[in-house]
Amino acid sequence: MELEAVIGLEVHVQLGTRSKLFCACSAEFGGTPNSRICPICTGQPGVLPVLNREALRLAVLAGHALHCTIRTHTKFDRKNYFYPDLPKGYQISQFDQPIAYHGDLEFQMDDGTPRRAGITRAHLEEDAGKAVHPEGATISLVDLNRAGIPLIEIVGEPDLRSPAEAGAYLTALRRTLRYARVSECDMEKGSMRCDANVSIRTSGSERLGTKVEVKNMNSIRNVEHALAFEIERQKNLLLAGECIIQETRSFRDADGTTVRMRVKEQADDYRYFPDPDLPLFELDPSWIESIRRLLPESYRERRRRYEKDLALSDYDAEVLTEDREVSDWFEKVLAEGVAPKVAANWVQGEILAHLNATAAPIGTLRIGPRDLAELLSMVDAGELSQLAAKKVLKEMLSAGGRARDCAQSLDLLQMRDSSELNAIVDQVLREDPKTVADYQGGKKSAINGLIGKVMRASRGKGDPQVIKQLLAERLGG
Amino acid sequence: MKPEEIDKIATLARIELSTEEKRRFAEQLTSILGYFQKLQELDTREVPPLSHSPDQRGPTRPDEPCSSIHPVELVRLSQCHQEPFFVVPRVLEGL
Amino acid sequence: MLDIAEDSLARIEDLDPGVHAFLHVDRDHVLAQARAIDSRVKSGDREGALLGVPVAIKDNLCIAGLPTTCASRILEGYRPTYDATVVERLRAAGALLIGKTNLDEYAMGASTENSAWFPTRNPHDLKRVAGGSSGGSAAAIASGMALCALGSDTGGSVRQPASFCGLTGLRPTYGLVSRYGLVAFASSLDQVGPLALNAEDTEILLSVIAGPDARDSTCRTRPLAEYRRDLPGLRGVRIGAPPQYESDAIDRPVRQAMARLRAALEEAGAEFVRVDLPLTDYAIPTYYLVVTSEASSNLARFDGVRYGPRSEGADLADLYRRTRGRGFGDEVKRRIMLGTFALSSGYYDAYYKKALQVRQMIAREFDAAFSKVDFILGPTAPTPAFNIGEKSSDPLQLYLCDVFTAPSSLAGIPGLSVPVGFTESRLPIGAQILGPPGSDFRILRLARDVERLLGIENRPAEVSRGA
Repeated sequence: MELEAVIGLEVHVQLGTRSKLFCACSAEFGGTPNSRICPICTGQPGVLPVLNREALRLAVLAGHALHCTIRTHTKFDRKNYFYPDLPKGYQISQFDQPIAYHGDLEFQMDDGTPRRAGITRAHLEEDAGKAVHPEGATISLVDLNRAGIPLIEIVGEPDLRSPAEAGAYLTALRRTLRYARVSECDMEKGSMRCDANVSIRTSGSERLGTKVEVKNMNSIRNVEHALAFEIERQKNLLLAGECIIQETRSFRDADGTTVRMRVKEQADDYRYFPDPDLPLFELDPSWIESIRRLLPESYRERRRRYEKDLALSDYDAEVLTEDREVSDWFEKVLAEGVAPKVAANWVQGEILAHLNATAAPIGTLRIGPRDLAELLSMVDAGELSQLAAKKVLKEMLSAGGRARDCAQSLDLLQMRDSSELNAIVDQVLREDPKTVADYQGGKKSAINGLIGKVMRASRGKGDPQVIKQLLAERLGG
Repeated sequence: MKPEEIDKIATLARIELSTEEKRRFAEQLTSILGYFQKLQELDTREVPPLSHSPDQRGPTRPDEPCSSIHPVELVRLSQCHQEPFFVVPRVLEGL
Repeated sequence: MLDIAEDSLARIEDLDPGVHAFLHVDRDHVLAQARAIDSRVKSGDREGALLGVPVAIKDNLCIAGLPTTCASRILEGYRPTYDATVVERLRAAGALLIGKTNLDEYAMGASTENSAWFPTRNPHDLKRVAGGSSGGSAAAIASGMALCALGSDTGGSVRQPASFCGLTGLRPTYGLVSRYGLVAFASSLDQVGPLALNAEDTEILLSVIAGPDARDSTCRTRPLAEYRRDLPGLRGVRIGAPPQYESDAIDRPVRQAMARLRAALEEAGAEFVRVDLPLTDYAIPTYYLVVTSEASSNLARFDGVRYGPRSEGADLADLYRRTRGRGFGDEVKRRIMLGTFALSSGYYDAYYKKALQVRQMIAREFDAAFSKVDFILGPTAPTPAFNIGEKSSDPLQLYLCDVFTAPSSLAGIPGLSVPVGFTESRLPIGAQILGPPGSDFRILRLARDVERLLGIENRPAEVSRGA
């Protein structure tokens, strides 16, 4: 009996707005606890919600990026339950008329195999606050900064069959939404969170097995580990003839297991009903369409373009599209007229290497794409050797500055003036009669040593090709 | 309405009731809900539910952050707080 | 202004121990307001439709820094950090906010007997209720302690107390007045409503508080001026008389007052047309299913965590259960339970959804009626003010008080109660004028005509001492 795993992921993504979903408090991350709160997001008596226009636009944008159908009429519902981080005793969410539905996500496995998973729906809802539980204390502390931050909940079809697929799906989802500029999707900062639903069934069966919900996985790797453990656990139970209990389990990072969460006192009955404080929202179809047209190039489209149009290698294309910010930076270098392959080499080899050393984001660079382009044009024009250019770039990255200025202050500009170079050539030849004799005696490779000496004497500012030519002229042959 | 059902609702609503209250409410709710059965006399099969004014459309607001009052005032409204936090008895997972 | 303020405060000190209209009167706050209004006037600013007018505010409306308790123990000591929109507008108009008035707890009731503290007495007869849930506001005006007041009307809570106390009280078209700062009971029905001694004052008060508010998503967006156009006279006006509003269940003096009113209107040129409202009978169960469901959710925030008194126990679950169990009164608990049940899994379709469907039918019924008539007329309540304690043992009895006011609330249409006479024992009787959505100012115009025709000159009652 072949068993297969069936996985569906529920991903919550914080939208990149400046203010909260239903009030004007700042949506910035962090801050002193309870510094970004107001009567509305703390559920004071008498307050009312008003929808953030930008959150609506980003939700529509996300829906487009996931190839969903967008509703022209949408409403909000109340999800009623009690928890200290939920100030109103209900969450404003969307129940039966989510803003977007019936989409899909294309992604790739590590070995390049393409896959496609369905997206059931994506809906808008407000985030809850945070409760922290100090070690050994009998109390919990509640911070409502996060309460009311706009979220979209993206529910995937149970189309995934392995932890690796789940990981690839999440990676692709993250990239897709970052590219669309919907969200930062940073699992560490909590702007992207994932819950998983896992069940086991006989391969080929249409029916679904008992579903177990797994929570508390705060990275894509942890999702994969949690799923691996959970699938194994369920398979073992079934093979031993036991039943799977429908429950919610929590991933324990310390030992990579999932454990039953405290059994709830009461089965959740959220008593969803339409929120009477928020009338029906009507979206102009032409507005919806205009958002779709303004959808930035998706990373898959860009990747394809890099491979096909720019003739970059598979590997290069992957590295240069992995991060939207890096990719945009690279695009700007290209826009300055730098040849794709050259730009690719330098961005990967030098810029990314520099960033990776300190794990810094590209926004922290002291130079811009135009500066790199300028440097590379100097190499192209023969004003700098490759080696010299690398030195200049290092200086630019650590201290900032324009390419030409740095090159000059480091005195690395290639010698244009032949007389200076000629003088060095003459001197080297004078000082090394033996090698000259070797060369003139037929050992043509001896010229390389002479080139090296001239280059050293000129402190790398001589173009090796030019030096070779001058030496050859002097040595007569 | 049986006392067990009252128990279930009281738990959902997070309201502690005395035995006497449960008995009394069971009686009253049964009678009131019995009266509400009257609505079953009407045929509503083709009728859409009315939850909002039919011509009202939800307004939206621009994405402009602004703070109106000193937030710590809101924390101080709580009977139990350790600035800057609100304080509750320890939350156990899965509550 | 200080004189006016001192005068009002003195009247309150003198009469309120007998009437119990107020929950909080902050003398310093009143005098400070009076001084502020004075300096405003001195500096040349005489704009302000309510300059120096003492206005009483129902205690479910937020005034920053003052207690707002909704007459509930669960909000004892709570002082909001912000003003309700209507309060802001009153301040801008120069009003003197004289105090917070008593109500049925969380506006749930028809007699103000459900207040956690005490019932408010009817100034016309202190042994009787002032009506509810805005009983305190009505009694404050009827005893001369305030010139006008704000109440809230969900199923009749402004109109019925107005009727019981001999005042004019308006339930505006849903969405005409902002709800921001009104502690929510049933969001899709709640409206802040003005109460005053006559139609003209009511209209002035409405003009100050009504109009668009970006903070309330359910507030209408058209400018208020648009609602004041085309106000007709009496000649040729068509008034609907539903047989359902003329039943034998209505007290004789009320029926007699209605008959006199009809005669006077017909003589003045109004045309009475029969309109049928057979769904009237279904309005109460519909109303109570909708409001209790919304209330069960609106009142979930009252848990002692962020404000209000707490009752601790062994754990978090205890904190919720005890705070709410001890903080809420009987009627509130009953309604939360009903609403929780009506929304719960397995019952939603048969109860809540069904009620919303009947609500649609009721709204359509009024729509159809208003295609034939300009207004609908009937008594505000089946009886005049009843005795304190008379109806409080059976909740259903009190629910039935809303028979004429609840249907219009469900449909979102405006309704005004206007005094049209007295019983033999000098208890006020009120008639209700209903109109289509947006007809608030037309209704107020008709009310003025009624006052003129009946020779009504409303003044506060003589409150008997030593009750």
